Amino acid sequence: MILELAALTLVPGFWGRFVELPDPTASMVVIEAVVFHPKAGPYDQPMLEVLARTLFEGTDTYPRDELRRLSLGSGGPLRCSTMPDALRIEIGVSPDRLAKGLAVLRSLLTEPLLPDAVVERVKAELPFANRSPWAEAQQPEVLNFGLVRQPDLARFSRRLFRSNHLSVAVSGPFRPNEARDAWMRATSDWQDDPVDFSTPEAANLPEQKRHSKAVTTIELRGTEFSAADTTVPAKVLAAFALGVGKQSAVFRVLRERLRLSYRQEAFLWPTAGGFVPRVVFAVKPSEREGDLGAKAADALRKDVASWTETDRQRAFAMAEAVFERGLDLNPMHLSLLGPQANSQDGRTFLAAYWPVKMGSPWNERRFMASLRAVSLETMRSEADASLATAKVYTISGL
Amino acid sequence: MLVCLAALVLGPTAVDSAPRLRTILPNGVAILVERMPGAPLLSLQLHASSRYAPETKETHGYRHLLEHLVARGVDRRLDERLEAAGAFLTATTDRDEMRFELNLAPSKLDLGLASARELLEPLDVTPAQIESEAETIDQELALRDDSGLLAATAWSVAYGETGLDALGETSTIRTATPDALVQLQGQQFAAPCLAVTIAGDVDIDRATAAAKRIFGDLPSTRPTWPSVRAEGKAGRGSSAGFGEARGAIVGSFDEPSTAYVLVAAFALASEIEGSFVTYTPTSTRGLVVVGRTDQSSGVGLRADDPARNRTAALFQRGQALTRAWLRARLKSPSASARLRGSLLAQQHAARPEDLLEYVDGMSFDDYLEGLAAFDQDHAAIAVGSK
Repeated sequence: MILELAALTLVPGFWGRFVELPDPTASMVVIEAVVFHPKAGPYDQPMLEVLARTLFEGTDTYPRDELRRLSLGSGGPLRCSTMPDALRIEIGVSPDRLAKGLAVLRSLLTEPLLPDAVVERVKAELPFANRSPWAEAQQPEVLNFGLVRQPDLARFSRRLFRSNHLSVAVSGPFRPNEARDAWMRATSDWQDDPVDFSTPEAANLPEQKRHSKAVTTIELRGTEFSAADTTVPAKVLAAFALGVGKQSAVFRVLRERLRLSYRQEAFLWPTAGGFVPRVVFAVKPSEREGDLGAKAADALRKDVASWTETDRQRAFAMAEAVFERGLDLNPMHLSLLGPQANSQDGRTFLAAYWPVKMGSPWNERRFMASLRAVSLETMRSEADASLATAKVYTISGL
Repeated sequence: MLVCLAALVLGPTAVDSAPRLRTILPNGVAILVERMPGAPLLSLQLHASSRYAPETKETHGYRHLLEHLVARGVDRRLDERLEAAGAFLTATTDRDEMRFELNLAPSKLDLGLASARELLEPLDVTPAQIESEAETIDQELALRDDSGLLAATAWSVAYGETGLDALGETSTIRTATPDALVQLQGQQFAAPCLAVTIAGDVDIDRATAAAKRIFGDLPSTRPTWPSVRAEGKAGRGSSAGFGEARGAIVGSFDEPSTAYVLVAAFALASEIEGSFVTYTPTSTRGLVVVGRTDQSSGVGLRADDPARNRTAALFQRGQALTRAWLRARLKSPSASARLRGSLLAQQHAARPEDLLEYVDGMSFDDYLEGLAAFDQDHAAIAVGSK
């Protein structure tokens, strides 16, 4: 059962979106809050990274240790992570702590401590976090954390955590309206910061030129498309055909035929404007690596041209495995943690994220029907277009 | 034939008690079927204990190579057949086992069983295919992350050659011959080393009967030279990975002291930002590693700070985190089949619930004993690169 609450009519001052997903079979409550933000520029992106790592350091109401204890025993998540288009806050609690969990979320959003000492420590650690070449390839922007100052971070968080940027979803074994009522109580005195979050003309961040490890990653980056584009189903199915499984084009061509890499993926990367189709593969550094991007794109386009009905059926079968059975190979990358899992927290996250991003609530049956309707020709055409327009980005390990 | 009905809820810890049936076939293959009503995904896993397939410096990585080659199936088109049916195969080699996991729709049990059985067919491989796969593994090794490199160093410090990491070395892998791999396959996949686990929305009796039909005809050959891991020793080693790690030397999964060390590990890690804990359940000697990859110090400082670690609050947090860690590994078909199968292949009697019992029943002194395993006099220390 999915109950959606148009919160603005019920919670004075709170303009965000709230969804509850009662699930009597679940053993814990999962709270997912997605805070959307415009495309962050050179100044904002480091702010977001520091904010994500500092948020659980305590609030005016809940000290750090109490936050740490919140999820104990439930086995649920307690973390904040950045996405290319949003900040994601996850809280898993035992069913008897539903109201407490929502009260904590409210407190995190409106009265985080963001201690100065922690901010400084996080600034020192972050340049070394996500040092894996694969993570660097997925998010190659070079961030300058030295610019982040605690007072600026506090102001940034107040403007970012306005309710009109928020989408909250809660799932677990509770009665219908129970989570809604608890959220209404938690936000009854919500007041947005008078100044909305805005960013100057988003400038591109400089990108990584070199990996610190002996790995080179090569990317074929296609053209951004809107999430409201009517061809989204075809693009998603094309991503399955290109990048999911050991019969995918990237596996067969880049790993098996060309022996270029061990790891290779094709996926749709979320951006403020929609999604970007990307192919990334990792190779041992060599003098010939400069030519590999073009060589890979050419070989992949030839493979796409040879796709048959068997490829379309396989792509759809893998999509069924992902969206209906929870196989963890979703090519719609929604965070650096990897493809979005179809677990309880994954489903709850989709309930918060998908409607805002895609314009309508997540509906598995409708989405699968749209994928089923994609023809071979359309799928091939979308895959080829994403490769034909792709630019090559190389981060060398030499 | 020994048949045990296991609905295992032991001690004060409540564990989801899905019905399970464990069967040991006359040839030594262990089968465990766990019914998880409503689970959309069926996980079928083939575990092969490595106790009769020891790895040395001269064969370092042969098992990993074998895994790559076997996973292709007899006609090298196994993935094609599986993915056409929306199924997916993954393969992993650890120090103490090789594991193949098939994720399937619940209605595809027979496809999964036939595919798992296909993995056991005699290997037919050419030197050119070995060379080609070695190239892929070479690319794989380049992707090793810092936590993996740190943990590998800690293992080498603790266990020397008997703690070699399972990925191997490319130069050694290239020396493998078809004959050597066929011989290794016989040792790795000897029937008494195998466990088949099936978890999902299945009928237990039907699934067990089907698995017995598929795996009951394997010969019961038992290789004669079980590998023995050396006694662990403390020490310090340099790692190519960035960061710092400490490995606490532990016995097998079902020893109470292992539970104490795990509780201490989670307690310590909860106080170190950005830290990781790695532990692979084993029936022989193992290592519980706490490390971090965002700074090159901090783990040791915290581990050697008794005043801050010897608190009841931290002990309780460690217990809670260990319980949560274990419960998460018993929750989904994939995770449960993985942990139960891994233990079953190595030691038929081992059960995850035993560890939960030890965690629930341990005292503060037991926690202190676990903490001591991480101090600089007892631990295997990996010092990362700058």
